[in-house]
Amino acid sequence: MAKETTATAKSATSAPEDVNQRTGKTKVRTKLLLANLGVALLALGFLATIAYALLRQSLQSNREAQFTSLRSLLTRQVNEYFRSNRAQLATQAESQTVQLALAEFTGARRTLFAELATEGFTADVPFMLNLRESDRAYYEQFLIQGLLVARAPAPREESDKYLPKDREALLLQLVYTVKNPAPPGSKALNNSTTDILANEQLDRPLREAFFRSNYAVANNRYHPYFKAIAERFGYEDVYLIDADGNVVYSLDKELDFGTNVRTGPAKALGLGDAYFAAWFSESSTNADLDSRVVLTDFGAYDYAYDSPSIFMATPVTDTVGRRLGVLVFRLGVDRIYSLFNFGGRLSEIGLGQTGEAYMVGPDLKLRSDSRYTESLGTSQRKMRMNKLGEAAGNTSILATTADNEATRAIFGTAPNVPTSGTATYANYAGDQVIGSYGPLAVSGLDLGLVVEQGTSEAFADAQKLLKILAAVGGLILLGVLFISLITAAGVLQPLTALTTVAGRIAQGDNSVRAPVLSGDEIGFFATAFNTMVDSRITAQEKAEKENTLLQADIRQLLDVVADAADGDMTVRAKVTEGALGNIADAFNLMLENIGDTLKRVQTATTRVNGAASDFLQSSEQMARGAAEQATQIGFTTLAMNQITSNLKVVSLNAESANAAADNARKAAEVGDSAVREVVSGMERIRRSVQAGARKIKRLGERSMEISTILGTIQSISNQTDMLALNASIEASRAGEEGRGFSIVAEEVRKLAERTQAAARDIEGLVSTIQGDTNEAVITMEEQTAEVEREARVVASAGTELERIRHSITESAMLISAMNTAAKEQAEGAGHVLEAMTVVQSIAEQAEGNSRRNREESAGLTKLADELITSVGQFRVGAEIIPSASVSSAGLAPTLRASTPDAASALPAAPAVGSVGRSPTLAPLVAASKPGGPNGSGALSAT
Amino acid sequence: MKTLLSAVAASFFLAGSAGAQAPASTFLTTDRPVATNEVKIGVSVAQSGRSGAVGLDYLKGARVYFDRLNEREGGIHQRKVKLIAYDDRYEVLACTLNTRRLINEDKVFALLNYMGGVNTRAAGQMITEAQIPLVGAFTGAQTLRQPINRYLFHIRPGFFEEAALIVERLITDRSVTKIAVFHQADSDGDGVLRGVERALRPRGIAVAASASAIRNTVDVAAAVETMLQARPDAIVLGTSYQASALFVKGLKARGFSPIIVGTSFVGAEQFAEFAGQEAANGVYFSQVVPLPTEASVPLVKAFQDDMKGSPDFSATHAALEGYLNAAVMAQALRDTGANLNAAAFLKALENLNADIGGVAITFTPSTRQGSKDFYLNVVRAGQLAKVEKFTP
Repeated sequence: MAKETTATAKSATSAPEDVNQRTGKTKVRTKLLLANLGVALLALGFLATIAYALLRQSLQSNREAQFTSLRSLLTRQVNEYFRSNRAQLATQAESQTVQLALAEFTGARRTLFAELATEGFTADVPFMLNLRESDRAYYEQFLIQGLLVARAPAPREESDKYLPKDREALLLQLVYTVKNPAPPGSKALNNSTTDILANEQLDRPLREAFFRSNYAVANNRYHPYFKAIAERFGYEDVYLIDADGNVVYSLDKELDFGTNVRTGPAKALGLGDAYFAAWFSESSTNADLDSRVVLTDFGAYDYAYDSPSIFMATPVTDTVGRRLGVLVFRLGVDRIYSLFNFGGRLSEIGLGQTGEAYMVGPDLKLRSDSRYTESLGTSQRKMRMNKLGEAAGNTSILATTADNEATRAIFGTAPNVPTSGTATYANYAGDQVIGSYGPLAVSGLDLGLVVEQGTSEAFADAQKLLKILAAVGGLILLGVLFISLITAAGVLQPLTALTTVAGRIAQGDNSVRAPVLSGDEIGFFATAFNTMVDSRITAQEKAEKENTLLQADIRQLLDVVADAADGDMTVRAKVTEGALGNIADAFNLMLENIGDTLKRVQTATTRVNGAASDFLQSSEQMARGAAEQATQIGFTTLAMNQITSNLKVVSLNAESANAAADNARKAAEVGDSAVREVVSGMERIRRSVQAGARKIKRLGERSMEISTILGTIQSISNQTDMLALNASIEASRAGEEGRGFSIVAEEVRKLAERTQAAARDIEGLVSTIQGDTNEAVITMEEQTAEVEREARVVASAGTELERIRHSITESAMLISAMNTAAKEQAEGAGHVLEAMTVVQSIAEQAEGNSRRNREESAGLTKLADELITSVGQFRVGAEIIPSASVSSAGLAPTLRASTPDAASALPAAPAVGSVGRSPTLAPLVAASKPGGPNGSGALSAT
Repeated sequence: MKTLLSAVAASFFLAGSAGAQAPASTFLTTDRPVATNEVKIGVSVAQSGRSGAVGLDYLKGARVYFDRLNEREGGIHQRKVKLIAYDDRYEVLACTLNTRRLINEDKVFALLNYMGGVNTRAAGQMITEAQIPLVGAFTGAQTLRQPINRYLFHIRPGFFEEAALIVERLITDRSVTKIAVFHQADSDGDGVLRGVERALRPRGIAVAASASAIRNTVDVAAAVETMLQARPDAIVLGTSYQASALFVKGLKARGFSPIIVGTSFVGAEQFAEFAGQEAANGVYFSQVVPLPTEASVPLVKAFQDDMKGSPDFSATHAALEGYLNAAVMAQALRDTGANLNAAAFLKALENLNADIGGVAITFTPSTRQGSKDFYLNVVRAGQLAKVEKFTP
């Protein structure tokens, strides 16, 4: 019964070991890896998501605010540009100089041919016919050729379409344009009366008559004035157009000079539209500028080889309000474009490598040049023409179509979308951009303004962060993987070794021992395992040795007994050192005393039998108790084993938790450093915004230099004023002769005054620029503050992360403590188990002993019974002896398996004949075995 | 031969010079031929861009009126009315060029349904030169009413009268005196501000606060701040529907809900749609035509009946105003009689005195203001509803 329990317990403990050996290794490792990687991934993913989302959101709102403030700055600048030009145009139209100029040019044009005739040049028919053909050659060479280049692949225009029909226009163009030796674009530099007189390309009679004409004189008088205005304010051309629509004056004297804008080709161009609308616009000085000055949208202007042009026009009236004509400025794109590309410093203003600001019209075509003009497809760009009518690069104005969410919203094409705002969309080049858009709100000019930048650049910092996080995350995961593998190996390697050793011992190889690889529970377990194996093997060897000795003694004794059984009572058994010696001695004594004692035996036998019975009973009781104890201990050991393995699992879990906590803590540290990275990124943004502010400040300071130059202009005009005053004093002294001179002096004085007024205007403009610059700087400073606020938010996120890291460290410490406690418990349980193993082996020994006792006493009782029978036979006489001899032969095998003590009673029957033969043996029996003499004693007493 | 050629060439050049010296200011023709079976009416109005929606409705009202008239009655005095309309995107230059084309090339008999103070002012100079009447202008600008332009016939009353009515109702119905104005920074928006100032002046009250938005823009943040500081009891709107809606939303978002009154300039239907119910509800509007859903008014009933047959049905105030203006034009043509000419038509217009479906229209040789009636609305559940007073 006890044996069965032990076997069951053994198989119960060995079965899971086998399972572990086969599948546990991978299972434990996989579990460990998955758990650690899972925790690390979760922590990293969480941190990365938060950090990326925060940064992207911050970048987006930052960019939107930046672009919107840039857009409002540009909107103000463009509005200011048009407002000041409107003011300039209106002021000029009100000035007496312009009114006189228009009146004089109109009159001089009308009387031109009459004057020439008076001066001796008659425009006869051959001259007139030749005149038209001379002009035509020039038209073909420049205008028609230039338009062919600009409009390729459209067919060549006919020069008749552009050639003027009236003789005044043809003659003016011949003198000032066609025969002017200066190249196109520079005619304005070579058109004084002296220049005309010196122009050998003109027939002598013509130039000698023409240079005296009122027109040439008027041009001499007013041309420098208009030239100065155009140069100072950046106008492409200035036109005076009379009430009939004749261009009586043009600064540049290109081929639109002299033509009629009501009947000629310019009728359908911006110049004709501007002239017509200006004729019907308000002329009262009280009316607001917007309704006095007409603006045309950018349009291709034939006379500038289709270059985009804006015309500004306002009516010119005489003192009684009668309309004399219209004053027109032609604005090129360069001045406006310079506002939009910030002098090529787009990246310094915060637009980076992909950002730009541009204007767009209601046809969704660009009104300022794209940053990418040269890389756009040919259908998205046009030839840029220089003043000589040659192609000089490309332009996107009126060529590139920007049809997207932003531009549609500006012009109200998208219903219920505000006309200004921010959006992310694909721009005209197909790139994804983030942009701020809105109408320019220039009265009379329906344009939109867009400031945008590629999202890839705008959100580059976020992408960078993502890359850093990915790289750091990868490293962390690799680290976690590595640590997990080492941990798994540390646990699994000794276990595997132990399993192998146990298997070899089971196969009978007692030489192997478990290697002690670590100082932890597994190491302790290996040591205990080895100790157990050692003690088991020692005990086994001792038992085997004793058994061999005993068997040899028994064989010897059996030989003697066999002889005695054969009736030879002279034989004596060899008395050996071992336990069997006592038997031999007793046997010898028995043989000697057998005869003497038979009678006493007979009487004592009955009592012996009783005592043996009692002994058997108590022996059995003892054996039962011992078996029960062994069973109990078996159960306890099993339970202890389970506890120990449970504790080991706890300990392993605690260790995994510890490692996970450690990883989490490291991940938090990485997050912390990522936040620090973000903070420093924000700092960089702040620095770049401040750098932008400094740039704008510098712009403001530059405009101060203009003020200095203005001072110079003012002092010059003051001097001029003084000179004029002196001149008029001198003139008055000269009396009637000086009257003409006095008028000139007065004009000079007026000119000086106007120069002063113009200087004041510029001063106003400079202060506006400075105001705008200051506003921009304030906006920039607000942005810097915003960035700093963001940085503080991120920094507080960093503090939060620090706190999280602290709490993770604390939990790690707790888990570590738990782990230590679990390890200690497992260790304690190991000790208990060890003690239990010892107890079990003692109990097993005790059980074996009591079992042997029981068997011995059972044999004794049996022997006593047989003794009674034998003794009974002795009483009957000699015929009993043969049967006794049979009986002893049957007993011999039993004796071999039995304890040597029982053998002392065996030879009772064959000993009959040899009683008294060896009396020397008696004291031996008494001395060697206490049970024997007692029994003998009892027998003796009987 | 040579002398003949010379003579021809000389006469050619002399003629060219003579042509150039023709008297000035003949930009527009006064010649308006009248056909026996057709009379051409010209319109320049925004049909695209930001004001395109309003302009299209305004035009649609007139078109529907004349289409039905031509169908039902075969026109006026056997002349079918032909409407020629050009898109000006609400831009003055385009309007000017359109008007030249209508007068010089299309030789229309009269002009109808212009939009906005700036455009109408530019057209005003041209119609004087061309001596062609313009009936109906979508503007309340006082400068276009005083001094009068002989050829410009207003139907809708001006901003001064509109502001006077709003102020009167606010003071009588709600006993408020702190009245502010949010207006567009152009002549029309300024007209609203000046109207409110003028209406308050006899009572010894000044405008509590005023803020402006640049035309076509929706940046209302500064205006909202101004109003939050001044905290007026009521605010009168003279801005586009988008700016108005965002402004009202901005105020409500900051927890400030004064009485809001939109002028006819705002575009009530578009405002209600763009602002959404929450912001639009409770906003009052003054209108220059009856509610387009108020079928008890004969004009509205006729308008609805005519519109129902139209493929692009639209019952907005702008459409009804366009319809009313067309009806006035038709009445003047009828009054002129079968013998149509410019002088007779101008005379008929100057003496027009008619009840157009319940709306009284009166011109005299010295007045050019056809209607004097206003109509009050309030936004309820996103829809405009008729009210008599501003009492909630």
